[in-house]
Amino acid sequence: MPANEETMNCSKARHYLDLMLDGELKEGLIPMAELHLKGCPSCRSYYDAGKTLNQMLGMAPEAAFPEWLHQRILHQASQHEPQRIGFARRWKLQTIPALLAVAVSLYVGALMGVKAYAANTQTYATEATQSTESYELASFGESLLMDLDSNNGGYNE
Amino acid sequence: MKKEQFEQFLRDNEKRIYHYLLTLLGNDNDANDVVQMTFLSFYEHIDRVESATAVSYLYRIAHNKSMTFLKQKNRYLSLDPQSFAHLPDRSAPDPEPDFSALKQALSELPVKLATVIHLQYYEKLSYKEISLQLGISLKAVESLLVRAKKQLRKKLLKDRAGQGV
Repeated sequence: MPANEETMNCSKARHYLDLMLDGELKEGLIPMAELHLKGCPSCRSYYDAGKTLNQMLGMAPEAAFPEWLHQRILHQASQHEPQRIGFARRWKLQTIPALLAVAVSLYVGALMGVKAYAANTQTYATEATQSTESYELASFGESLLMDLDSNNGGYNE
Repeated sequence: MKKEQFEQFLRDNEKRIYHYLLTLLGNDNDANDVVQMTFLSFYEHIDRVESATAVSYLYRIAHNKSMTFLKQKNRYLSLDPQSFAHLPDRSAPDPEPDFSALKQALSELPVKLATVIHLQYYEKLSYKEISLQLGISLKAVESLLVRAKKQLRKKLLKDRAGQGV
């Protein structure tokens, strides 16, 4: 330990002194710092100034909180309350129309979908009927052609 | 927290927040304004605040509000002739010269340094507690406190030298 005490420079000592003034220096290091203080007038004045500042900060009078300010804050908070309710109410009112709008749009969409489906099915049915007729016609034509082929195209050999 | 608890919470914490704001802002008028903003902002979110973290949440609001306040104030300070009304009256006798000088020196500290000083001397927190409160390392707390005290010493010495002249 004595070797350390001798080699401790002022910068390190002041670091220890700062911690010592705040009660944060490890107990084992306190004798080292105190020993340095005894032999170093510059660090002694640094330590004394720090001690004075600590005392001043510790003794500084607390500013009293004005009572009117307490009342004003409470008053403002009470004024603030209706706004909070109003906001909540407004939010609820906005939610209901939004939900209604969604429901109505779903209903209208579904109706339109059903109508469109029905119309499509009808068109398809019509088209299907028409296509059967043409198929029948086509097959009628085919049979005619076949007949013609079998009869050698109607030509005499 | 419930809204019904607000009045008691205000009563329990108004002094510490007021002291903190006085340290940061340096004058009663500004501290009065910001303390109102702080508690009203807290009240707006009271439903979402846990009792265990309410005080640190309150400090966070106070810090943020004072930062915004200082930014806005600095923006208009140079243009506002009213600000000259707050200059100290040098001819009037000062009832507590040491503490007024200290108060002035504290108000000139950057916000971070003023915060650690407040937490150490007003809240009586240890380095470890300050580091937990601010979410910074022990070394950082130590460094901030050393810097804060160095600046305070410088300012107080300058003041004394000024008074001596």
